[in-house]
Amino acid sequence: MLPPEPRRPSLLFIDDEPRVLNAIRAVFKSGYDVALATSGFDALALLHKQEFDVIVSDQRMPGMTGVEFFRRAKRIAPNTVRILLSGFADMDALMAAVNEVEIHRFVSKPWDNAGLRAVVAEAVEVARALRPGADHPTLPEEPRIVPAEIKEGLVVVDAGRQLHERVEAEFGGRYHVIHCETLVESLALLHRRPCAVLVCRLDVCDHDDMVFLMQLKQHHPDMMVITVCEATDAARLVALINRVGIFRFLREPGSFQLLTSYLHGAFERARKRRAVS
Amino acid sequence: MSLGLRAAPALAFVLALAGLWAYLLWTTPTVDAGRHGRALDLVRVLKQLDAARDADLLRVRLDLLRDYDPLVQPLPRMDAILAELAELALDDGSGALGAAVAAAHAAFTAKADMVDRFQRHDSLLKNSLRYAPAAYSDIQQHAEAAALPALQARLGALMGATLAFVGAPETANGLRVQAAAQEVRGLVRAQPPLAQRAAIDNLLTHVDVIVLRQSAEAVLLAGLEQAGTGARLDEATAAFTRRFEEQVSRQARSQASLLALSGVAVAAVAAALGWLVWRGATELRRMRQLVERTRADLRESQAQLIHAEKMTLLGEVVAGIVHEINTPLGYLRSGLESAGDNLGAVLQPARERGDGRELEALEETRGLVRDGLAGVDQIHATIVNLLNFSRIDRSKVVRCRVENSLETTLRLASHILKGKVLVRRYGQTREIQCDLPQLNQVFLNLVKNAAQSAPDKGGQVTIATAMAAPDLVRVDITDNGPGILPEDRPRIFDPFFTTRGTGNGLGLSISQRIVREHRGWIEVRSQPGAGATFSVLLATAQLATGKEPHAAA
Repeated sequence: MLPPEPRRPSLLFIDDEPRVLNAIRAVFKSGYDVALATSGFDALALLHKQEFDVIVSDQRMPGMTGVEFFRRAKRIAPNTVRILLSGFADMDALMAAVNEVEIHRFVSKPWDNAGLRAVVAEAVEVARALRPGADHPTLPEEPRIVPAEIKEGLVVVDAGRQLHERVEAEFGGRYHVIHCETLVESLALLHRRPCAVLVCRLDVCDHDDMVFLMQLKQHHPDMMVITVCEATDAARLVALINRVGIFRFLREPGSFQLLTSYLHGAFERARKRRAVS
Repeated sequence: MSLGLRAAPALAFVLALAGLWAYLLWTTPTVDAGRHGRALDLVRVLKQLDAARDADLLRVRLDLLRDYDPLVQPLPRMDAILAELAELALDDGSGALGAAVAAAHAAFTAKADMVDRFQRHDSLLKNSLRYAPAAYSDIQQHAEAAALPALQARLGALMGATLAFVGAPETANGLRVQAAAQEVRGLVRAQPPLAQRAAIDNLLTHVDVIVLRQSAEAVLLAGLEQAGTGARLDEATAAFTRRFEEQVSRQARSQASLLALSGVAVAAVAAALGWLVWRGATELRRMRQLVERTRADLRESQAQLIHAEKMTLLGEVVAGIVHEINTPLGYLRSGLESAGDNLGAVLQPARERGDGRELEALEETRGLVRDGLAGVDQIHATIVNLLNFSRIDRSKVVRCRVENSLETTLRLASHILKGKVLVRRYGQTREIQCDLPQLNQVFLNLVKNAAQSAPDKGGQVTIATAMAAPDLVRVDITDNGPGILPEDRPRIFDPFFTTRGTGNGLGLSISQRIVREHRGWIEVRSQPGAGATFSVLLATAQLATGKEPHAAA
């Protein structure tokens, strides 16, 4: 049986301002199949009819916000990569975007065209990699070396001990829970023993952790990262989403129940990823 | 202490007082003056009866009274009185009164017995006394007829002696009577007279009776005098009176105790009331002071709250504006870029065609597009600055150098500084830990004040940073204005104090509060006519290793 013809990446853009859509059409006119919608409702109707690789949506729209739209879109087309493109997003919207809707990237307005093209291209690759049996030009990833009989690893990076103790109590039976005091320490550890999930408590004032987290993700792209922080600003959260690709973000003081459910989700996702590759 | 615990001792005291009061009331003897009066009356009546009986006795003895009834008649009444007295003497503690009444009763019983015996003796005596003279005169008649002068004489002597004895019943007289009787008996035996023998024997018998009974009577009468009923009654009266007095005094004592207790209770109540009033007064004073202090705090808090409200509102407005601006900026920028790309695509064939005017137009357009893009980027930078200044995305504490905050502030204060010269003297400062929007607010306020103080011509504002100590950063904002008047100096940080026409006078007070919360302070140096320098001193950030673990999520 012949492999199907490689088709052009399909994109869906949603923004309530038609001029934005005009500008975007001009950017993606070559090499992509582009669909445009001015509301979440219109976009959902399109989603029911065809498949898309990447969806890019604004956040502040009348009737249905970007996050609300993505919630429904996720159910209809779970394998489509979601990107939020917005002029201003507050912390609550961003947190919902990363935790509930799992956006892949956040792009702010105004953008530069080359940058947007790059982001979309990368997103298309991710979408195709996620799709089972889909044609993609990239080679399959190297098989995991971690044998199945060893327990999956869960790293807790925290200057204190409390978080680790609680996670250990809850998950110690099923997973191997390791404690590291700093990200540097965890880098060394993960080099020796890769883990499926990493929970990191971020310092409110110290922003150097961004560099280390990026390094971690580069070495271990399949590792799911959950960050916990007492307070942070939108810019930092955007950087965590875009440059580190965090799985979840938890604001302290938060419920341990929530963290537990995130951790379960993380392990499930890690297993799915391994199955696909 | 709960109300219950506090009330317990007071309650106990009240209960004790009430208990004591009830006890005293219960044990206070009821002094029945009526009963006592009755007892005394009874004794008095008894005495009267006794005295009357004594009088009757005397009359009987003197033969003025021939009826024995008066001697017997009062007896039942006396008994009744004595019985009642005994009853009245019952509730007597010591028994002395009962004994006195019993003694009186005994005396009366003895006396009654003696009166009874007297009565018996007396009736026989009186009987004989009545018959003797008649028998004698009868015998004398016959003796006269018989011409027995010796007998007549002896009988006469006998009668005489007998009467004498009756008048004065002494032993000597009694002996004379018996002697005379013996002589008569001797005579009668010597001469056998006779027909009057029986009468004479009779007479002699009577005389014996008289002598005997009279003696017995005398003894009884002496005994009766000794009966001492009067004395016993007096003792009984005394005993009654003593008991009454005792009761009265006991009652008086009890009443005095009750009065004293009531006095104590009243005093306690008065004291309690006084204490409550005093406490109320002190409470009131304390409350007033508290109210004054609270009011002062409230005013300042209110001012700060209004300010915070304004900032929050501003944050919301800024969010909306930022989004509204960024969206058109988005398609504007993208469009310009695309337009530039399109121009670039068209430019090459135009060059090949060699149309000069077309080429010129295209080149010019491309230049304009480039300028347009630059404008868009500048607008965007301003928006970013505005966001940085207000930091409405709720970042809390960050580590940075003061110069960052100053620069952000100065960019936004450029319109305020128009016309004035701005001089920067930045030193090598270490990072501080701060709430950036709040610190920006402080610097904006100070820069604004400095700019407004500096003269319109030749005005200058200088901003200098340096390390005042290894862990202390100093920021000086100086203006060359008129300076601060000495009388205003103490008040410049007060809320609502302002020397300008505009403004609400809150800027410096809020700034000082913010700096204090950052573990720093603001200093002022000023000479009238020589400008002013406001210095902000802030502690440097803690080292990374000195962090304490947070509570787990």
